[in-house]
Amino acid sequence: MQIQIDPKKCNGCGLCADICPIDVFRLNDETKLAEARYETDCWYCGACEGDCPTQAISVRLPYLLP
Amino acid sequence: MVESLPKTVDVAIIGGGAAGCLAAIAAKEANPAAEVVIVEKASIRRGGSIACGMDAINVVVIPGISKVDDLVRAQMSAAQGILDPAVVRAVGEESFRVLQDLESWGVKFPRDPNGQYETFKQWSARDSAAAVTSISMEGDVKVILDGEVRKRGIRRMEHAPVTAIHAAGGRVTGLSGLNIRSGEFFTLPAKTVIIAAGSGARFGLPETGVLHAIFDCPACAGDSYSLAFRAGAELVNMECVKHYFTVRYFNGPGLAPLSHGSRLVNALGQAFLEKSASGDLELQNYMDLFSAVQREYKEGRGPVYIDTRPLSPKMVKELERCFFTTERPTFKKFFEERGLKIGRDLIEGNLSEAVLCGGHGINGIKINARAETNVKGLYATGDGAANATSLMGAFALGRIAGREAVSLAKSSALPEVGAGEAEAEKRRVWEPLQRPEGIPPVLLERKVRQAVNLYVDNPKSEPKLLAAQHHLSKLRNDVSRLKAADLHDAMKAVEVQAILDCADMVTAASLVRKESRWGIYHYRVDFPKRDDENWKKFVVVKREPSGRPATSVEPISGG
Repeated sequence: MQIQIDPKKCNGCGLCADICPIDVFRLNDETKLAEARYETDCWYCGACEGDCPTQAISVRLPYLLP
Repeated sequence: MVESLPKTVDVAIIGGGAAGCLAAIAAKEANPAAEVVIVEKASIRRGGSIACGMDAINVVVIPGISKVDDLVRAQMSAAQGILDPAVVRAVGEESFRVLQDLESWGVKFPRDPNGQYETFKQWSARDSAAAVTSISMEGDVKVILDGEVRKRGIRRMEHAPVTAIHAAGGRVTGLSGLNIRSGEFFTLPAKTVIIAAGSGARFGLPETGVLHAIFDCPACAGDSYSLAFRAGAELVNMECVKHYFTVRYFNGPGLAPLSHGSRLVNALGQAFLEKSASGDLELQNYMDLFSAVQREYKEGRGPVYIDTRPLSPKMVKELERCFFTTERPTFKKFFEERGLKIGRDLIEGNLSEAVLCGGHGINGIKINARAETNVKGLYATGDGAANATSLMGAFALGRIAGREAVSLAKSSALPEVGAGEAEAEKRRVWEPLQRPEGIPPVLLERKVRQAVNLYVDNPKSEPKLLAAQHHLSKLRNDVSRLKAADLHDAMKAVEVQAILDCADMVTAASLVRKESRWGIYHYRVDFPKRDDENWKKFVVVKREPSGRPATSVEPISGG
């Protein structure tokens, strides 16, 4: 997974879903926690990782980059 | 954040990036009673090309250090004369005020012990007397701008990509868009509209084939150009298709290490740049650099490496700061994953995919020194507008557009958006969501961007460009088969149409310019020479009633 969200750390605040410039995140309807629903759209700018108030998000580079 | 729609909009700004924020702030400063709204695809806090900040402002004119005349001369020379000098001049004249504003809001610029600003010169200008001065920048710029916008009571509509600008009788009437969280399609009548929706980052396909592994922010899908085109605005230099020199695969900035003292070598360890650079490393030698890199790869002497070993420890530190803390801090992970170290290693470099950009390049919406387009009440700034002054162009033209727009709004009545026009747009946006089956937008996008690589981009020739038109018109037919799975996908369905619009415009303009210019940005194998006598002119693109791009050739005033 390119974007890893630690469910133990995520508090469901939705900040990542609000701020991602590429609209990658949503809150999951059932768990109420963040999910990277459109992960392949990620530009790995790192805004989510830096802004997450509980440091729950880790962004990796796309696997397909050589 | 979803808010109710305002009743009267004086200034509607499309895009809450650097340009849009400055436009909003300037409009509100000039008339605090005005209703100013930023309509942003994502959020103002992180939306746009500089989500996580930027390490420097490439262009600034500081009294006592640099001169507006020098800036104009340098940018005109870099554009090989095909640029409106009045626009560059306006940016230069506004730039110090921008710097002061940013500083007063908490953005940090380096000063020496005497309080004088410490500037530097770009790689391209280091041997040039008529230097463009640049300045380092520190601070979380977008978060700071978001705060300044909030402080001033500027209205915001976020997660709301604008899909159309409406106009009637050569005057702007408002805009429409889709809220991708609520699903609401909105039409907003507005007295004035400012386009600040960024570049055409998703144009060519990168060599990795990964759609969003590109140089510039993928949220900028050419919206600026497509919105302007469909509203009847003129665009210039669309034939000038940009490529960046980048750290390969990550597609991060590759010129910065060169500015700081790295050198370029090919796979044989040869410093190949000297061979191609004609004389001093003047600004236009960016073009030589790009041509040389392309040649080394084509002739089998790749990979090309950025040799960072000559860097001084101080420069290594400075580069690590700018690479690893701003723009895209994940650059650090890229270096770590590959075990690369700046100052110790050779790092692969290559040209990026084809990009359209009015800030780093020269293509885009045609504006004058007041940021006006040919459509009354419609303004443009940032990477969408042809200005060649990078981030400063966004800031400065944002300020100019904001105050010009709010001034026109004062003497204007609120126009009406034609009901038929709004309905037709709603249908266009909704149709992909309602289709039971069809082509996912992402697949059409891949094909369009492949077509850009194979037929639209360099090297160009008339038969090849005609083939481009053939393929693009076939792909255009597939728009009526797009199937969007959800609202996010519905946004992408609109974006792929913007990319198609861009490809059409580039193809049309490239056919007209029967010469070669700007190195690999416009190389016609059937007209391989630069021809200043006949072609020191703008190629202008404008939509004709059929929807196809019509072209004309215009002289450059003051050029």
